[in-house]
Amino acid sequence: MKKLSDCRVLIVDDAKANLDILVEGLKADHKLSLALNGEMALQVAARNPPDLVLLDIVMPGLDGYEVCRRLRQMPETAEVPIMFLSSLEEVQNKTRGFEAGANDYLTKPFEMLEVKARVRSLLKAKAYSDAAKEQIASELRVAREIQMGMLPREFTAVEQAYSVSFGAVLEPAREVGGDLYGICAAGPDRLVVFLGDVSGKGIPASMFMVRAISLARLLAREVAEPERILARLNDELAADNPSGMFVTFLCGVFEPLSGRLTLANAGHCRPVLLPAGEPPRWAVRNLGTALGFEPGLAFERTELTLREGDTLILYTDGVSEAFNPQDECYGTDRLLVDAATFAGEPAPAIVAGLLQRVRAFAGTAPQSDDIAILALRAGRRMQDPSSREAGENISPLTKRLASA
Amino acid sequence: MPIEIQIQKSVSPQNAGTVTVKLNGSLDTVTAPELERQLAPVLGGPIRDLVFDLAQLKFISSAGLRIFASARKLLKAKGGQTSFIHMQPQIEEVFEIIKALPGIAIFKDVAEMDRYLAARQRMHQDNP
Repeated sequence: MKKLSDCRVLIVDDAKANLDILVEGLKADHKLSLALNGEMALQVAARNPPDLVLLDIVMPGLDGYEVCRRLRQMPETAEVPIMFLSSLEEVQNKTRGFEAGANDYLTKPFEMLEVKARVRSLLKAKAYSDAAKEQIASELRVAREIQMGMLPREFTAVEQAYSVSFGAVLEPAREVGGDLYGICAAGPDRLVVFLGDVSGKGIPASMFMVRAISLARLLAREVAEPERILARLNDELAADNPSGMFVTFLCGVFEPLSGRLTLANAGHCRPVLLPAGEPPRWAVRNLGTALGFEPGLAFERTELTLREGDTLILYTDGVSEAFNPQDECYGTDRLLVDAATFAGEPAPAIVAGLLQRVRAFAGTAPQSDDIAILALRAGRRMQDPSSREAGENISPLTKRLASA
Repeated sequence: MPIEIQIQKSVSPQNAGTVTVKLNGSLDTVTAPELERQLAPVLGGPIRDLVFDLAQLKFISSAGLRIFASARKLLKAKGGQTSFIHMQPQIEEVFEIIKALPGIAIFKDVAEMDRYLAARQRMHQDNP
């Protein structure tokens, strides 16, 4: 915690005599900044943010109430303790002071001992709340690292082994979030991709996300069909779920030899299929029920074939439900139109391009939900190793991944 | 957008144990905790049917769906049902992800729901 002697007190008063008394009384205990009027106070506060402000009310130019309101609007001083020191002693004046955002109000003439005691008390409360905030912030930074570490970022090995390419992005609205994706090399002709979105956001969502992604990774290797991966994942998540969290989840199994892609949906936004040379369309029609509510649910599967250059785009509703400052929604229609403009682009370019479109649409509106996009683009169809002599085209990497 | 919550307990004897919750506004991360707080005593009391009237619900997020799903779970454990009426198109779409769960029923309006509840009651009377 910050020491009280390191704390800076900004004293604002248009009467030089008052400033002198306060400086004399406080200079031994704290660092001081001085201002003789409201405008100057705002400038000093912006340049060298204080830890506390002692503010006169009746001053030429901006009065103390207005200075207080403006300090509250500046990010540097939004939470700094402000104490009015004024000869206005009516209760209406005091009330107005607190309404303007002040933390304390002392009438002149004052006892220096009382000023010092109040200053110390306000500074201590501020230091305590700062320390608590900093602790949470530092824990969240580490939590974010752990969470981000669970998401694959480096795809080269998998891309070569399965003749595909990937693009992926995940940006939580807060430090941690509930969006997730994964890519699992589950067998020589079986590549599992998944993407999900846990209800809510922030810390509760992130804890459920960690459960969901860890289970999904295990099940992707253990269970062959995507609809059965979902059913098992649902049973696991619903079994111990007192808070009633849920996750919408899309799972796909790609077989590079045949180009077959099997998809199963658990309540997630419909993925976009961007076929080479054709307009984009929804890759899956049905939504299905999200995971975590009730064990014993069954899920449907959808089968399609990816040709070379066809791209599957999975995303969370942070994309489709991004809002702009006019409170309009980006929406799925716009998503299809924008996706079409990236036809033929590499997977990372599609992901980056879509993210940029969503950002441009949202403009200055704050990001309201976690955003994740994962694109899988099929490369040249792979040859069946069993139909080739000694598997000459199979890289050692494929074998290693397949046997892993 | 805030949310207005109106909770009404049915006074008619044939609908005893039915509580109707009217929602007006947006059920999202910000407003969902308020609904959860107000529902808690209702779900803890004597209740068999919980009816959400969504005629004025403009927006629902996953945080809102979670409240509906938890209410469903609690009520289902007591042998009760959670019903939804007057669902608007934009809500219907989001609702897809919970509508197939056991213990959830969706009706166009009060008349359709009453017909269903009356039929259910007759069935109980015939097969006590």
